[in-house]
Amino acid sequence: MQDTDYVIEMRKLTKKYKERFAVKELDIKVPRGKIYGLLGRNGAGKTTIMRMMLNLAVPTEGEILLFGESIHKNKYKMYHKVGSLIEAPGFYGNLTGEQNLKILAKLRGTHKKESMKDALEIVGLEKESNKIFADYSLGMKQRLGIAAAIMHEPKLLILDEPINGLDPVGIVLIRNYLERLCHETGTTIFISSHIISEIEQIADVIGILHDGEMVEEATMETLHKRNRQYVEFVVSDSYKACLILEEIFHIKDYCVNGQNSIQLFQSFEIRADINQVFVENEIKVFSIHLSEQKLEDYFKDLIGGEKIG
Amino acid sequence: MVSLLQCEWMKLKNSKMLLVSVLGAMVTPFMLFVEILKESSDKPDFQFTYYTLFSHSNFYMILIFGLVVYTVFTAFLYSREYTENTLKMILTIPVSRHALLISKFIVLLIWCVLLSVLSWIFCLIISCICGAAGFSIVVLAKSLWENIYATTILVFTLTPLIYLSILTKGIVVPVITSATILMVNAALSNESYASLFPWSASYLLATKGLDPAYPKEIVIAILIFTSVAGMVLSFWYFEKNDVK
Repeated sequence: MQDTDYVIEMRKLTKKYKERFAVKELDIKVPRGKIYGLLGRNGAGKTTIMRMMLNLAVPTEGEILLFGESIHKNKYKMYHKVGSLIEAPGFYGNLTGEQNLKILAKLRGTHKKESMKDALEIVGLEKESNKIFADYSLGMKQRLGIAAAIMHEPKLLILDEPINGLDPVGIVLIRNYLERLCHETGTTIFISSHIISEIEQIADVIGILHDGEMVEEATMETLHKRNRQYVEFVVSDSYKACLILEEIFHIKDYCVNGQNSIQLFQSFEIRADINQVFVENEIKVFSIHLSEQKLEDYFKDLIGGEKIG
Repeated sequence: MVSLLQCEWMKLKNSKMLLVSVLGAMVTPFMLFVEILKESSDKPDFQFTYYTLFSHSNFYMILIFGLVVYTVFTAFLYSREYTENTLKMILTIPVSRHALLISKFIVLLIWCVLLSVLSWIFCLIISCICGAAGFSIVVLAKSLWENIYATTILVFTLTPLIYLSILTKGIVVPVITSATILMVNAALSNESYASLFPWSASYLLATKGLDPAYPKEIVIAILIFTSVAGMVLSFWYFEKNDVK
């Protein structure tokens, strides 16, 4: 296996079903030890991408590299380092959770009883050892799926909407575990969701998918900076206005947009006072506007949406 | 492959299908018992022999009931990975698609032979209880051998039904197909063409009942062709199709 900074690389990845593109010319690179959040509406192509990564679906065009190698070469060595959860997890209904994990461990050739027990404990299923999978609730099934993905200490986790069906406590539990896993062991995590608030809390980088195409890709830091709340002053003399902000109000967190627009990222409550001082210093104020856009609204505008999806 | 086989058996633990297939295999001894009662009531002096009873039991098991029972088990074994949505867990381990199909086939073969032998044992018990005549180790050994031999060939001819199980991802179509095959077997039962029909030929080959008009080599070629065609289709379809 080649040593590379990118654990996942997708080049011009395309999947076409008859005349419809499910995924179109996608380029993604995920650095080692990072959490990449793939965000998109239902039917955007998130699951299709993950199935192609795992060789469950064949790309129409393009290629995927994991750990620097094509997924068609050395797949047996490669996929031993990968843990995955695709949509609703499937297990054998007549067997208990532990028995199901035992089958997976046996097939993987890494049959350690402790690792199965640890995985069940992490997801909170250690007390359900006698219950068969057919009697599991939705949340329990999802937890077992996560346990199966993490059981063998993979270097790469591919998780498709892992928090579906989990209760609020479970969501926090899993989120904290994934963050810890990434930061302590350097595991790379590729996670998809249509819930912005969840991805926002965990991902280092977000890719926004819409109708099979990547519409935006940025670090969380960039997105937060871009979409922070602010007060915008449109004034006649932005230079003079900036001097007043710094010397009188000691405000440094602002930016100038064009010739006449100043965006303040702090001190929203004294905007009236700022306006008064501007006027007293012969600066005309054409408008004052408090932005209400949250990240959620930003995504909604980006990937469209009055319809349910 | 050994791990795959062990896991296939583990998957069957607590499965209702094991019980269903055993009950299905018990139909033949039951039919035999009903036949004995009927003959005894129609002709009180009628004396049935071990030879006759075992001939009938093999006929019922291989040509009629066994075909349906084995098909139900076959379809369950292959389609359950779809119905229980487990393929994406198994294949991403990773497990070779070919190895998965082959391991299931081996389990199918072993279980069908065991079912057949179990059915034979119960037929023996019923024959003993009903006082059959002509007990002979040679007769017993011959019928057991024919039973196992015919079952093995029959299982190899189930590969087209394996393909149907994978294609339709369910049990219904393969079982309906096996019922149709059963009807054809019944229709051809006293005809010479039975030797050319793969699912009748398995029984006739094992019991040396082939029509002399058709060389044994042609019959074997038809059986091999049927088996290989089913396997090739199954492998091709399973390999090429995306897992949803």
